[in-house]
This record gives sequence, structure tokens and C-alpha cells, in this order.
Amino acid sequence: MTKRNVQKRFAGALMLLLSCLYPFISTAQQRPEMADILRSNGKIYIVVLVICTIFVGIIITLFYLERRIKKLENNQSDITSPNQIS
Amino acid sequence: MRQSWWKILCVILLCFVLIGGLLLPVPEKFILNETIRNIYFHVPMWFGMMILFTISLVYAIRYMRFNQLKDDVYSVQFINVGLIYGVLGLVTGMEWAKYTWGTAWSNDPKQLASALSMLIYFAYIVLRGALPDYDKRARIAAVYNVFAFALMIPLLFILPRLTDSLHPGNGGNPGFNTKDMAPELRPVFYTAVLGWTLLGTWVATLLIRIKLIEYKNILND
Repeated sequence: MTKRNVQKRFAGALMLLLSCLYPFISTAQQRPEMADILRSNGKIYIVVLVICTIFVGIIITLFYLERRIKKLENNQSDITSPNQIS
Repeated sequence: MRQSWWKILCVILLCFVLIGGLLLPVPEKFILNETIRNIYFHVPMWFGMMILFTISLVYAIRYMRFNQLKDDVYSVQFINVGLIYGVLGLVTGMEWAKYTWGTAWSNDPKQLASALSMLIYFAYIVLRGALPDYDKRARIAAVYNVFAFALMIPLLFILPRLTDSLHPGNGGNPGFNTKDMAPELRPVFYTAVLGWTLLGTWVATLLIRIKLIEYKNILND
């Protein structure tokens, strides 16, 4: 018997075992487990989400400020341009 | 305006709010669980918005009294930052509501009233954009500002009390309130209100400085 055949048989046996155990595994839990990270750990991730939202808001405000200041700098540049000095 | 001690204070207060708000003990409640900590982030947005709108009102009244265009610049920038806070308050409130009240928008009286008062202030910005003349714009905006503020008070503090609201502390007489904020929440909460308001004022002063440079020629007349 080749090595590959042994591996195939072992994998098959494992799958059979798991498929037999599967009903017991699934009934061990009261309800089907779905992805629900936001409600895990006492819903702490809602707080994280809220803090991140506020952070993003502040960052957007910063970008807006940056744009306004850049516009001011461009308007000033036709009086004293740094390129002309260098 | 150029003094910086209050900006350092703002950073220290907000550091305390972020660390203390996430780590200090809070009341253990069903449904709310840890989301009770949002009281340090969602609620100060609204408090900050109202304080910024109040400052804006003071400058609007000053403009009507002294006719200085500078006061109008102050007034509008405080409203701009107040609106940013309002939008953040609304979005964070919807995120919080999704996982505690079940839906993001449940037509709660306070949700509707805050959305309405924000629409009134957005109309202020639109109204300003529609008037090209500086002095006329400043005067009409100042008058509208007083009306908007006078509308915001009943919308946020009186109407939600007349019916039942999902927001704790609303509905019924506040004098007999059994759902007052727990004492252990108060120190961080008041710090948060002060810190977030100072941050808003900081942003507003930056916007005012930009606007004053833009209007340099008009203001010097």
C-alpha cells in the first residue's frame, strides 16, 4: 500500500467520524452559532464602533480644514511665491 | 484665542474620558451591557452641539447689537461645528440603537425632534448660501439663528417629555425621575461633556481664523 493511499483512508475515516459526531456537536449548543461579533463580550464592540465613528468624523473635519488652508496658501502664493525665492 | 492652556486641558480631559470611560466600573444592566459606556461619547456630542449653538446665538445677538461682521463669522463657524457634532450624535445614536432598541431608527420622539432641529440648522446654512450680500446675509442669518434656537429648546427638551420615549429620563416629570444617571457615571460624563465641547470650540476657532483671513479685505473697511 502506498503512502498516499494510507493518507486517503485516514482522511476518509476522520470525515466519517466527524459526520457521525456532527449532530451531537450541533445540538450541544442551544442555538445555531452565527457571526455576531458586535454583540459578543457584553456588546463592548458597539462602544468601539461609536468611538471609531467620532474619530472618523474628526479626521474628515481635519481634511476639510487642510483643504481650506491649502486654498488660502495658493491665494497668497501669487504675492510671495516660495518658488521665486529659491 | 491664541492662548493654548485650554487646548492642553481639552486633550488631558479627553484622554481621561477615553481611558476612564472604557475601564472604570459602570452599572451592570441587561440589554445595555457594556454599551452604557456610550454615554461618554454619544451624549456629549449632543451636549456639545447645544453649547456650541448657544455660543453661536450669543454672537448672533452681538452682531445685531454692534453690527460687526466679525461676530457673524464667529456665529456661523460655531454652527458649522455644532452641525458636525449633531451628525456624529445622530450616527452614533443609530449605531447604539441598532443593538439595544432593535432598530437604528424607531421614530422615537427624541430622534425625530433632534433630526428636525438639525434640519432647521441645515436650513440656516442653505439660507446663508442663497444671499450674496455680506451685510444682508449676516443680518438675516442672525435673526434666523435666534428663531432656530428658540425652536430647538422645545423640540429637544419639552416635546419628548410629553410622550413616551425610549431615551431614559424622557417622558413624565423630571422631578420624580427614577432613571437618573447612576452616580458612578457622573464624574466621567461631566468630564466628557467639557472635553468634547472644548474640542468643538477648538475646531471652531480654527475655522474662524481661516475665515477671518479670507475676509481680511472686507473686515478692514
